[in-house]
Amino acid sequence: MKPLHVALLLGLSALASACQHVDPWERNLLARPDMAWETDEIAATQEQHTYFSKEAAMPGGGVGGGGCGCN
Amino acid sequence: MSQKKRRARCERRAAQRAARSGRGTLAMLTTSALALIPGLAQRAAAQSRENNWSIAYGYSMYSEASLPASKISAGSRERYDIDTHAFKLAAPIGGHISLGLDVTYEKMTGASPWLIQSDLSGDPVVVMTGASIEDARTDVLASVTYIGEKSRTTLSGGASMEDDYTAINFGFGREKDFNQKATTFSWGIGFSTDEIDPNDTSFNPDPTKHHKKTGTFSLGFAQVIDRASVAQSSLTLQYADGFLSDPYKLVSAGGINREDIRPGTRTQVSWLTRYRRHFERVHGSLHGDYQFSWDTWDVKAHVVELGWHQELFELLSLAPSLRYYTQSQAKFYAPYFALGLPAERDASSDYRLSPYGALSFKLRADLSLADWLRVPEARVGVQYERYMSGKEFALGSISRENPALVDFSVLMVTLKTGF
Amino acid sequence: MQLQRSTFKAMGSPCELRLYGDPAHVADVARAAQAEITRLEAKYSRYRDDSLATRINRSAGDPAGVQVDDETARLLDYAATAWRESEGRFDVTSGILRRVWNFKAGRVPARAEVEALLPLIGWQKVGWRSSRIVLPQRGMEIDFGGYVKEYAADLVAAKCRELGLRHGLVDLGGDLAAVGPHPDGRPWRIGVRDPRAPERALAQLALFAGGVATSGDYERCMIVDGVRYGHILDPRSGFPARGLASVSVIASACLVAGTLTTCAMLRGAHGGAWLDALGAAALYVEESGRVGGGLAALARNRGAAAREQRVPEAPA
Repeated sequence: MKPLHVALLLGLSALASACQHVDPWERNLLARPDMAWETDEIAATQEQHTYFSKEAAMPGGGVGGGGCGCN
Repeated sequence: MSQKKRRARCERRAAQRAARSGRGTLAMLTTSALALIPGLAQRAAAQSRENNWSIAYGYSMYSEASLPASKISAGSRERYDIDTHAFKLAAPIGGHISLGLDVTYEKMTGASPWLIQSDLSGDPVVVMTGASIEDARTDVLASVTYIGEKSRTTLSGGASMEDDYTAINFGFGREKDFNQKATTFSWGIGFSTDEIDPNDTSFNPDPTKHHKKTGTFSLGFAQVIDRASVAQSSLTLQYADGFLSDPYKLVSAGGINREDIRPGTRTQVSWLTRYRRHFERVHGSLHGDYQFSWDTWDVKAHVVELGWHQELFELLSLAPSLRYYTQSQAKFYAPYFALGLPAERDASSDYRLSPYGALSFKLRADLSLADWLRVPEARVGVQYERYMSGKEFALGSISRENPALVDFSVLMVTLKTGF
Repeated sequence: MQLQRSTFKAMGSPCELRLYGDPAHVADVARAAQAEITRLEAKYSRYRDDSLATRINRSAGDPAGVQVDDETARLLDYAATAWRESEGRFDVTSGILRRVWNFKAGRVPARAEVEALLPLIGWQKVGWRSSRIVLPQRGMEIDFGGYVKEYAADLVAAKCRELGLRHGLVDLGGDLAAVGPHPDGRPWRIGVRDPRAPERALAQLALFAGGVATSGDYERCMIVDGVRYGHILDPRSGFPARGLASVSVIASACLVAGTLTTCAMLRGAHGGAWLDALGAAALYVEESGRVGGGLAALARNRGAAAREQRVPEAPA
């Protein structure tokens, strides 16, 4: 999967240089609920917990919260 | 240097000088205005942040599909049903502090895979536990966040309690804004200590208590790309040490059933990138997430999630999404071991460490009630997800699929309100 | 939630309050708002014999000066800050120039008449210390009129919020302060006039919070012998500013927005560049017709489309 990761890194750096300056008063679209990282925090936590119990991958996106004896 | 170039350079320098002192002018005038107009300071600080309390409640019904008879050699065909009640509270205190409390209560009933055996033709079949298992789990997480002008610092602590499992965790995180909040850097550390006390001796002959410690570190950044799109990328590193096996599972090796033994340490790394883009003309947003996960047990996994959020009639939002998952197997995994194994050798036939892929389809609907109820942030949401796993979804080719791979469906309802 | 509108005349201009809420509550708030404006008029109007402003102006030449209250002190501090940051262009002592400039009559004063007044103008000459203002020479005046209307708009918006309203717009003769966006989160749409065709809209601005102010050379101006004289007078020369046809600024407070538009107009042709260097949210039109400023990219109705549009009477 190495080529995919190189492509992603390049994509991210290209994005970083393509960023436009957005003034604070232009941020109305970004404040929409459907532009948030999680549309529903409770649902997102539940989903993450389910995937964590059923899959081997570690859920990304930060720390906080603990383990469980999930089977 | 030509006269023209020199003059141009002088003008540029003068403009830069003006800019440097100019930026101060806006701040000076605003500061002076702050003294004149009541509430200006708090409004400026709270513009993006509501000074409301917010409460949310969610109820979810998780149901695993029963296994086909061909995959089972003994035990119940029914699998897990889990009912969960989740409660979330956020309370702003003073101008700078926010308290958070998350409480989750879940009730699990049903059977789970106990061991995998080979049937007469050499195919793996699963022996399930009986359908008598009923367990409840309570999870509490409390957090305090200090909200600064350009940063947020969070301290959290929590516990998860089950009949046979207790975990205590702590976390610390910090976010810092740059470029007028266009860029945000964040980092965090977490620590968890778990104790498992397997008391159900019908499935586990060894009632010893076991311990596990986990440390997590994460680093991330989020960037506003333009007025309609944002992206985020974060790297998480986790190190676990202690008893990482599942005391309720057995492994068939050389015809004999022995314990599921896993290495005493595990290091996992995951890299998550997310993108959100809004399309004004159609009133819809595109969500795209990709995660790559790697660990020292040789499990590599990819997650790709694509979703579309469509706004209808200004208050309703419909969001279908698709999630694709694939993982490779842990190095000590096999559905069963035809030959015998040394007593201390790592071995597991847990389907969660087997190679497979999964596709899940999710549909979510949200209705905004803020205007109707005259209460900020009031919303109700319904979500349905159907998850299917199997070797046909995996990236690589798989010779023998673990018979205990799970399909499930979840129905969730959430209510949220502010006051 | 219903939108209630109330219109009235105050500070010499047509005013409008657009407030969302329960009708009885909004009526109470509107009354409180108007009371605030009346209070400020009574205190700072130079046309009233019993105002504090007139008392200060009558004390010119008296070395004892006048001891002022907290609110006036802060307004004078603001005037001092603005004078300093604008390098002397924003000057509350320049009001006396109205004695020789008569825009209604269309009279352009002789240079000597204007120059005779210049010694009485200059904030640096005013004694302002420990809440005591001293106008050293007879004939000097402090004119709050250049910024008290914007200040009033901000105060009224703050009062509305204090009394529990979260969505609304305060319009005092074109100086706007937001109580909050529409209840569904939509911003107030504010039409900016085309300075060379003031019945048409040049652009539309979106206001969620803060204030908007506009200055233009087409307001209260006079054209004599083909030369346009705007009403914003440069305190250093005594003559009108030239170079910018109009400026609109969105800032965290209408007071700040108004100061920025005035200062930009007074910088003439370089006013636009100055606003850009400040990082201000501005839309300006130069005398040449060129449109610039950070908000220009967001403005709709530019070019051909603008010709067909009529300026909405008030923000929608």
